[in-house]
Amino acid sequence: MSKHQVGVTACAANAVRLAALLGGFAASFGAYALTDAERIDRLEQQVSQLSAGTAERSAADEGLPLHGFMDVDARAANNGGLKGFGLGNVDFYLVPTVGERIKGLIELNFEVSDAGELDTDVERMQIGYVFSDAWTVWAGRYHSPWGYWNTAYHHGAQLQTSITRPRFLEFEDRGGIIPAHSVGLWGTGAVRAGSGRITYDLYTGNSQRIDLDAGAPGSGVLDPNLGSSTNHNAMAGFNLGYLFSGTSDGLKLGVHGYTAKIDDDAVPVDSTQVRFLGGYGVYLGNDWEILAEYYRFNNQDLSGGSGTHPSWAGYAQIGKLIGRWTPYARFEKTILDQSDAYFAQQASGQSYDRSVAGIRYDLDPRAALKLEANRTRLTDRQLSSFNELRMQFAIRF
Amino acid sequence: MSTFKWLSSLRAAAAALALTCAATSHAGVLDVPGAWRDDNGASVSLAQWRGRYTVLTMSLGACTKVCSVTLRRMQELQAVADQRHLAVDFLVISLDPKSDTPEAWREYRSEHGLARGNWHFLGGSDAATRRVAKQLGVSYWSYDEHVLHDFRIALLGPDGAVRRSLKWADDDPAILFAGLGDANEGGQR
Repeated sequence: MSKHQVGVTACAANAVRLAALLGGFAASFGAYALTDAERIDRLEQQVSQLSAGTAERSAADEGLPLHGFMDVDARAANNGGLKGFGLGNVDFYLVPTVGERIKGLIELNFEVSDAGELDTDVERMQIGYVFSDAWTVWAGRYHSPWGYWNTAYHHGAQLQTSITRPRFLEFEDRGGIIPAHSVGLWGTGAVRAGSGRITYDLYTGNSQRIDLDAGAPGSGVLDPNLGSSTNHNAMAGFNLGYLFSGTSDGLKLGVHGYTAKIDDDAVPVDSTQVRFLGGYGVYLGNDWEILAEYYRFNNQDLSGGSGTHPSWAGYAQIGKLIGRWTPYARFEKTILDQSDAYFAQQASGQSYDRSVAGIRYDLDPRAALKLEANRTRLTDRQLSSFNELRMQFAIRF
Repeated sequence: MSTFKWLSSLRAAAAALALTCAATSHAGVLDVPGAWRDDNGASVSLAQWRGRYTVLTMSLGACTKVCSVTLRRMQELQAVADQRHLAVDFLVISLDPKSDTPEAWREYRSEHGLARGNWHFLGGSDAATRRVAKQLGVSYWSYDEHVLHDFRIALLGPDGAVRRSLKWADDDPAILFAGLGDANEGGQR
């Protein structure tokens, strides 16, 4: 029996029950004076009122929808690294609204670390006030709006074409070397300009810090300073983009920058004024996906007096949708100055290059299977190279 | 009141209500009220597609994955319709009416070479869009700047009822027109 037939049968059964009830009442209270036609009119009116009521219910009346992403992975590596099956992420997000102008975003992520432990994170917790279509201000923990990738794909493995993010753009607890999360204020919006649109982001908040593993040099991980500004420093950044339309529809070009005084917990403390400027170009159209980003660092040593340290990182990715298949390839490279404490103290702060090739098959708009191979060369600190093969089954719900 | 008369009234009432329920359940996509605008900026009603075969989908101009597949399927369906001389309209209803303004849809049509007169791109209110999506069985929600949504292409008969749907895994779009005579009743080109 189809869903529709089930609905009709249930409706008819209810109608019989309701009619019996109404008939009983009519008999009991003397409504027998009404004609059949009058009774039918009344019943039709009631049904029509019930139908109208259901149709007019707003989305808010139906409760707060819970959506999310989930992925399961498998991998093999030739350097003695992780092999076999593993749980990826299960990511839930909620978008509560309070009236027309106030909205929230809560994103809870459960992931299994490389050590096999379950980590829970409030990845995003932000409350926003919508001044207009062109201007929203958020407060809380948000994804730092630098570059393109970090605010385009967030935690949705099913959303991004590839299995992996570029290594240097990973989230902090996955080895990212740029603060992917910030706590503070973020203003964002878009305004029409010519035939396209200008997008902009301005943000400020707590400076991030680097936590070393029991003080061991080169073991650090970035921490977004969730509770308060432990180092009493502020960070700030911007992102300015242009979305083309017309014959260049799908093209976005942008520039962005970030500055923060970031300390680690070494003794004595390494303090660095981290500064980077970057640019990106993205084309998503005519079944092509072309992404390229570049980050240029000019970090200043504030504690050791070693001056400024230039470094850079970048990647380019290309993919083509062919039916339900998307073959893709990416090249990423970093040259990170190892005399810069900001990189030297981070566990993943060494320079590298990586070539990635993969294929994605969309079983459904909500489900993707991916196969990806990569070759990574670590080009300073500890020279080595390794190959990895990864598979992923990712869904959204 | 005699038992017989009471039972008779009850039967009449139940029959009437069951009929009303059945009619309500059959209310189709084209019965969804609301003001819609087409890509010329003209105010239209979905009911005006009654009396003809219509291929209906929900989409958004900014989507480059699912909607790209949808658009390709729709174009393949147009080719099948041409080959079989089927008079069919193609109706695309926006899932993001705020962004898909008449002007944006016009631009989209021009960029994708969708100039034929039997193609119509509409945008409506959020509430009306939600109702059509519900009728069609299309789930959609926002994730930051993304509007995440299902794939669904439906063939509506002249009575507005969904005759058949094309699913993501269907390789041959022509199955949507299975059972339609070459000179189908209703419809205009």
